[in-house]
Amino acid sequence: MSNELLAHELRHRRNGAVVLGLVLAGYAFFALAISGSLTQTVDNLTKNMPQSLKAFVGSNVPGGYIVGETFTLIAPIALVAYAVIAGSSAVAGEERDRTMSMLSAQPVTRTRILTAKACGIALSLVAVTALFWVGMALADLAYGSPLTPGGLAAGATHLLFLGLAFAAIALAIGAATGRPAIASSTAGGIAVAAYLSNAMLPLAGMGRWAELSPWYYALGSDPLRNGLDLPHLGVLTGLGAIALVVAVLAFRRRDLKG
Amino acid sequence: MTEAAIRTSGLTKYFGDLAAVDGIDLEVNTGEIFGFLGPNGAGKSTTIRLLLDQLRPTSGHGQVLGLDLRERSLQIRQQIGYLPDDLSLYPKLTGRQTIDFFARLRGGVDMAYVDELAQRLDADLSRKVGEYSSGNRQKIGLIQAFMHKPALLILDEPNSGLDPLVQQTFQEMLREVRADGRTVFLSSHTLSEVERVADRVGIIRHGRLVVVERVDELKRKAIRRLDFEYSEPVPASLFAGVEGVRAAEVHGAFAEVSYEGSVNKVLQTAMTHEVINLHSRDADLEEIFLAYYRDTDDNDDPQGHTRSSAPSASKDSSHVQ
Ligand SMILES: Nc1ncnc2c1ncn2[C@@H]1O[C@H](COP(=O)(O)OP(=O)(O)OP(=O)(O)O)[C@@H](O)[C@H]1O
Ligand SMILES: [Mg+2]
Repeated sequence: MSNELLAHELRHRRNGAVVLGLVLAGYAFFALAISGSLTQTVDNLTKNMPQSLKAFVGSNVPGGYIVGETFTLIAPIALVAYAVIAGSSAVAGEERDRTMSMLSAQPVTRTRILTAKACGIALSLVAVTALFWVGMALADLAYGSPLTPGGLAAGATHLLFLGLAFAAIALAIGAATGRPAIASSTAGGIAVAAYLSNAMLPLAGMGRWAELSPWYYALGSDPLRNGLDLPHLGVLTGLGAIALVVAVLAFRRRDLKG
Repeated sequence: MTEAAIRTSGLTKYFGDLAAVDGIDLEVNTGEIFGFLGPNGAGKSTTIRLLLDQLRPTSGHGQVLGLDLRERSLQIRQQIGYLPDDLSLYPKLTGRQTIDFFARLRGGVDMAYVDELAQRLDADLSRKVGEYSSGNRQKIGLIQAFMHKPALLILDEPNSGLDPLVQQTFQEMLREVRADGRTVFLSSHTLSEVERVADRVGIIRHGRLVVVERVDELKRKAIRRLDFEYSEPVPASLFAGVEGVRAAEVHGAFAEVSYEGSVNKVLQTAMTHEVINLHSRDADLEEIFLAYYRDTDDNDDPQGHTRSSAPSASKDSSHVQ
């Protein structure tokens, strides 16, 4: 029965996830394709910059500036934005649209509704990230680059876990409040603030504080070069798990809105 | 077997300071059609959503089909069919996909019965729900509520958007449910929507159950109206003091009479002059409320409902010349 809920959720998300995945894949493919020539130019520009500024610009990544932009900016922002929108609309969106009234009158518990939605979002994020990785890996095969498919997979996995964590946060706020606008603005605000602090604090010599930001655990270990960082992935997983528990507890307790 | 389909005691729901549902003791018998009537904002939907565990009571408790609302909600929902007020469905699914989704979620739904219901209601299942007229959407909601032959149907304003022919079919379907020994709980604003099918009605106002009454009894007590048109002006005092007359307004050759109980005396009085036209108006819910408030005049009514409705009641009677 809850498979049915999950299937329903996936049907609902399928088109959006596939479109976003293809766009990211296409973007990544072309980014890698042209990175060879552009890297040289940017490297010349950033040669004398301090390391933290290079990190900010994204030119310290193997593959150079373009790959850096793709991995530290474009892809994570797209994934996190998708995660926040999907997470905040999952439960609260059905209340806003007033479809929750009928759904919650079916013989399914609130916990099952919520877990089906969480799984649906997680699988969508996996699909988007996988498509993104395929785009990168294809370009890597076609044009060659200093990156390995394994490094790309590690980078993509870190981004996936970042997306999952923010999706869970947005889901929890939506499940607790029943208001998708509050959920998306709060979770989105947290994501932006965390992004900026991860990017800016090292510039101000306050690198330790950046470790409070989830973005640090997605990008800080430089997974493109160093592969998976399990402790960092563990932090993101823990964050997501806590948010999910909060989501379930809050959603079970309260009055439904729609 | 004799257990009530719905039983609540002191069921109360506050939204902030507002008592949307205020200490409701309700008992709906198995196998009856129960009409739950009340004006906008009376607390009908709130009561229903408490029964479904969508809202949590501030105090009080209740059982549906003998099961505690809070503890056994899942088992309750297995056995009920629900139609929400102001129904919303997934706009991108077709009618058929919508029904299939809810049917699979429940399991064990006889799809042949779904088709039979769709045919009877003349429902179009092929298009996307977002493109439906509100009546068509309502039909999908009804099919969804009836399709698993639930022991209890909880329908929140089911008539809204249905044309008269479909309403008739719908009422037949309700009678069949009752004939099957199953129970129907339906809310409405007006008595006229439920009086043909309901065995009993409860009237809720300001979150309080004002009265529960058999429909035939209620109709007997209801205030009704007759408008007469005479061939020539009649005395303004024509209906004064006539048994059962609550109010009468006479303007020349036109008279509007509100009365309760038997129509006999009113007609006898009316016929003392030459009537050229006669128009009977349905008793509307508000008048029935007023009738009940008058009845409770003598009783102790701590909530002041009687007082708040008194001005309109006295306005009526002041017309008696
Ligand atoms: N979620 C809520 N938050 C705050 N107030 C609410 C909420 N839901 C309902 N109310 C208020 O509770 C009261 C009862 O509302 P309810 O929807 O139960 O009325 P109703 O009898 O179903 O009315 P209608 O005939 O208009 O559907 C109203 O005053 C309404 O404004
Ligand atoms: Mg209502």
